[in-house]
Amino acid sequence: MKKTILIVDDSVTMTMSVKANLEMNGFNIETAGDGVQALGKLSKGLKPDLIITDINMPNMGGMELIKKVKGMPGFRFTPILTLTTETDSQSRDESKRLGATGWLVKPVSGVDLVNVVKRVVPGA
Amino acid sequence: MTRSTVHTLLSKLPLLGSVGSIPRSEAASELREVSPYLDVLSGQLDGALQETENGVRALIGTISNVHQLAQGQFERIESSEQHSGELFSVLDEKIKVDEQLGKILQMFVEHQESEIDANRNRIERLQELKTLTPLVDVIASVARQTNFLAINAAIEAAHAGETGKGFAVLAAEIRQLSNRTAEAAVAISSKITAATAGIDKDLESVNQASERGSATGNMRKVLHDIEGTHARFSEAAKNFSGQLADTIEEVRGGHQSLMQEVSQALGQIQFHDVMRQRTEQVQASMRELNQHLQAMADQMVDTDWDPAEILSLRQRLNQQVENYVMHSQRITHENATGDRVAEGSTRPVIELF
Repeated sequence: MKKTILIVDDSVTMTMSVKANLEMNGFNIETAGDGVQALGKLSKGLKPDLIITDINMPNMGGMELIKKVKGMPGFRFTPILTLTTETDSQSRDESKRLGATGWLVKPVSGVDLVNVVKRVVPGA
Repeated sequence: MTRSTVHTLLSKLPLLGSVGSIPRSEAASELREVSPYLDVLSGQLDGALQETENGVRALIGTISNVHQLAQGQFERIESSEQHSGELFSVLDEKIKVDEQLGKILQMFVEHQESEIDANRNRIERLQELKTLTPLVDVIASVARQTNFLAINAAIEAAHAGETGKGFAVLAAEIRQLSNRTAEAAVAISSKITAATAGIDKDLESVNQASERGSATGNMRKVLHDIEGTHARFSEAAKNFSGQLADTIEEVRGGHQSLMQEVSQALGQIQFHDVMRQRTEQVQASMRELNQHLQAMADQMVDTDWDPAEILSLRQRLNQQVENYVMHSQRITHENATGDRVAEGSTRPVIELF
């Protein structure tokens, strides 16, 4: 059975490219334009095997999304990767403290992204 | 813009409050024109971003199409591989059946040849009966001579009178015995003739079988030809199967490489988001520059420049550093200003906690 990944990013080109890359490597992809949309999908029953989120987004950024998802029942152990342009160490450490699984700085090689995803998604 | 140019501009900006021969109102009016100027620049950057976004979208669509086409071709090749496997399986079964049929046919031919040889041997042994005919003639001749002797003995016994009576009885018995021997010889001769006639028929049958033997010889030759053809066919099928498997394996490897390249291309497209964010940061800086220049214009007309009330451009530039989120933005700032703002060491692009 295909693993489901939720991609959260306000950039259309980012969402499209990551979605296309992961789909052609056998994953089922859901997308959201910001943290609010992502939480809406999760509250409606979406149960992804992995969440990949940008940090700087309108309405709700990645940090707040990580914090809220980790506090939701049933999502405590859902792995969350950040995929962002930010290189700031403090932001990385903050995401780690909130419960993120890893920090990826754009642009990430397509093959490396697939390898990381397979590494953090159980059974992928 | 070089670092020295920026430094020159920064050092001159505070002097704008005392523009020598240019009236302050004219200088302020000129500064007001910076606002639409920067709006045009910002609009041009928006347009450029939109055009690159459209291009990137189209590029992603094209890459996805390439992937679908490649995937479709690969699936067709895999389907052909499956069908070829089924075909080779059928051929393999046929080859095995042909081998069994060949063995059965060979056994049949060998059995036929063995039967013909056995019949020939039996007839050759029966033909020895013909050699008995002269012996029968000898027996018949001896019987005739014995009969003559018995007749002569009977005549001599009659001449002897009473003394020859016993001898006459013996001569009669011998004559009777010779007659029976002659009759037996005739019967044996008749039987041998009859038996010989049967052997001749059998010999004719064997000759006909021998002609069929040449037919089995032809059959053996045909069988040999079939075995040769079968071996060549089997070898060709094996070679073709191996070549097809190698080719499909090469196609499979090429397909995997192609998929990796496509994946890499999709990853490289992320440059657009980096460029978008850096451009948006530049646009934010341009808005801030505009605000600063408009504040300066206000100060020129109404009041003197008061650094305590309004941030200097240098201060605003330094504040920009706090808005940077990328290492590359900080490096660009460093290269332009000479100020050290980037982190001493960079962490890896991918970091799993």
